Amino acid sequence: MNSKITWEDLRQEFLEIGGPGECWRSEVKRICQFRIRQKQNLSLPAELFGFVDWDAEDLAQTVITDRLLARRQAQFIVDTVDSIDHARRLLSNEVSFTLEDRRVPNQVDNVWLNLEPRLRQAGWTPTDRKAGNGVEREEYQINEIARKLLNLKRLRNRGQQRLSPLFAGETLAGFAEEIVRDYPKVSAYVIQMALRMALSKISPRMSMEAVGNTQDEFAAVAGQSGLSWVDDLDSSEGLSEHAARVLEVLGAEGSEIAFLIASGASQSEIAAVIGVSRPTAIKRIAQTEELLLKTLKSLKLGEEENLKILQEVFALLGVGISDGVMVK
Amino acid sequence: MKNNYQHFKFEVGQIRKLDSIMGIASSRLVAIAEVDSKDATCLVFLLGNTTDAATPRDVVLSIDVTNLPYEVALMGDYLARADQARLINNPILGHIPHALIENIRSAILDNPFGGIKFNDSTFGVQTGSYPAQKFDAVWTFRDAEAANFALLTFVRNKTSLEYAVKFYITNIDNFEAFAEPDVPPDALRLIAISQERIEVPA
Repeated sequence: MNSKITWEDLRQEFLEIGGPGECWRSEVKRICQFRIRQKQNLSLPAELFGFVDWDAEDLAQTVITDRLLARRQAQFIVDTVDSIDHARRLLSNEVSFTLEDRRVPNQVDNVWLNLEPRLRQAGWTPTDRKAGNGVEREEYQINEIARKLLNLKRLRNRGQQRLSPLFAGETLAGFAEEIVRDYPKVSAYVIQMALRMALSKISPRMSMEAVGNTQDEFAAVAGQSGLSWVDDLDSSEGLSEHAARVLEVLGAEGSEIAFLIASGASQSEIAAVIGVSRPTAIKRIAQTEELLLKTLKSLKLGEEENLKILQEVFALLGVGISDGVMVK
Repeated sequence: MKNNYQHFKFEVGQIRKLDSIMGIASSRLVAIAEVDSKDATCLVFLLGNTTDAATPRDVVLSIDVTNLPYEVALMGDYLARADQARLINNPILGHIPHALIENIRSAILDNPFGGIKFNDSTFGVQTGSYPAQKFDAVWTFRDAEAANFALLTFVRNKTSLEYAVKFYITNIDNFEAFAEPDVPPDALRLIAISQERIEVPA
């Protein structure tokens, strides 16, 4: 029966009763059923979106009340659309937005919830974004705070646990004090944007810059993190030169691939970051590994020195070795 | 459905539906940024309802600004030329102040990369804050919007025969337009050959 609904039916119904009616409900429900099947195929529990179980009727009612009525999106559809396919695509978007609105908090929310009380404890009071500084100043602050956050020592991921804590309480407290000291009037918006920037998928260029591109800056960060290679860093000045040369040979893409491999990224993830297909990524990974070995061999040093140079390369890339395991 | 009596008059800031092209592109809401009566076209900004996913290059317009019953996001980079014929049959749904449209245009031209540095306290509108990320759903959505918008609009080439013909048809009852310095030569030729030949007695 649903397949027989035309755009004219939906439009007429809307104009007659001044809002979405039975035709709209059945159309939305049909899209919800399809979307629920997709979620079930991915084994996503309904609780993830705040529902007790996957029920198309519940989801359809939520879409209609929250989006089509409360946000007048039904009116937008009537104003914009002139075919049933176009209407279905927009309704499908509304279902996506509803699911997104109801999604349980993500890692950004998680870190913010842990950080905010510590910020207040350190003397921070939320300021109105409009009363703050200009857009340029905001952008600068977002970048700076994101950079500082990326340089914090992270906790190990606890397997499959969702929202495994990223930072220890003490680390966040120190971070909060640093923010209050450096940016006393920063708005909550700026901090949240910085969290989002730092914790979202990081583009290759950003990850290289965010980690710090000078030896002094990195050493300062590394000094706080307590990684095992820090003790040897200052004793061999030649190491950093060799490491810099290795990175130069690897180039921007090669360095990024090395960073991702060391971070435990899968081939598909590496492909997504460098913007190529998986087979191409596999070839590039092999090329990078070969180039890295060739460059190290060309230095004609012992195995121990090569290992130290490799550690230094990873250090420059923002990867350390702790307890024999590579950590970001 | 208000302002129905003004359907045939185009003004900067009007929000209208841009008609679909059957089987090729679907209709969209647009805001008129410039009107050119010479070839019956308008420069239009694309409007969308994805205010939750508005990027720093979009301007989110509240219902107080537009008089629409819903919020819209003006997509700053989606500015192109459309035929007035695709707009004229549709009612004026809302209106964005002329000055605001001009502010948005200059903000976008002044900031070709990154977020628009635009904060208009007079009208109380703000740019979006959704972080655009390569390959995510919003990226794909915007890509599809760009493709659809490109099909609904066109790039005007003032030296093309198409423009000359359009100019000729639009201004056939207005000979003064042919006296303008920027009249396309092909339009002059068309008007010349379409007029009755004046017989001069020997």
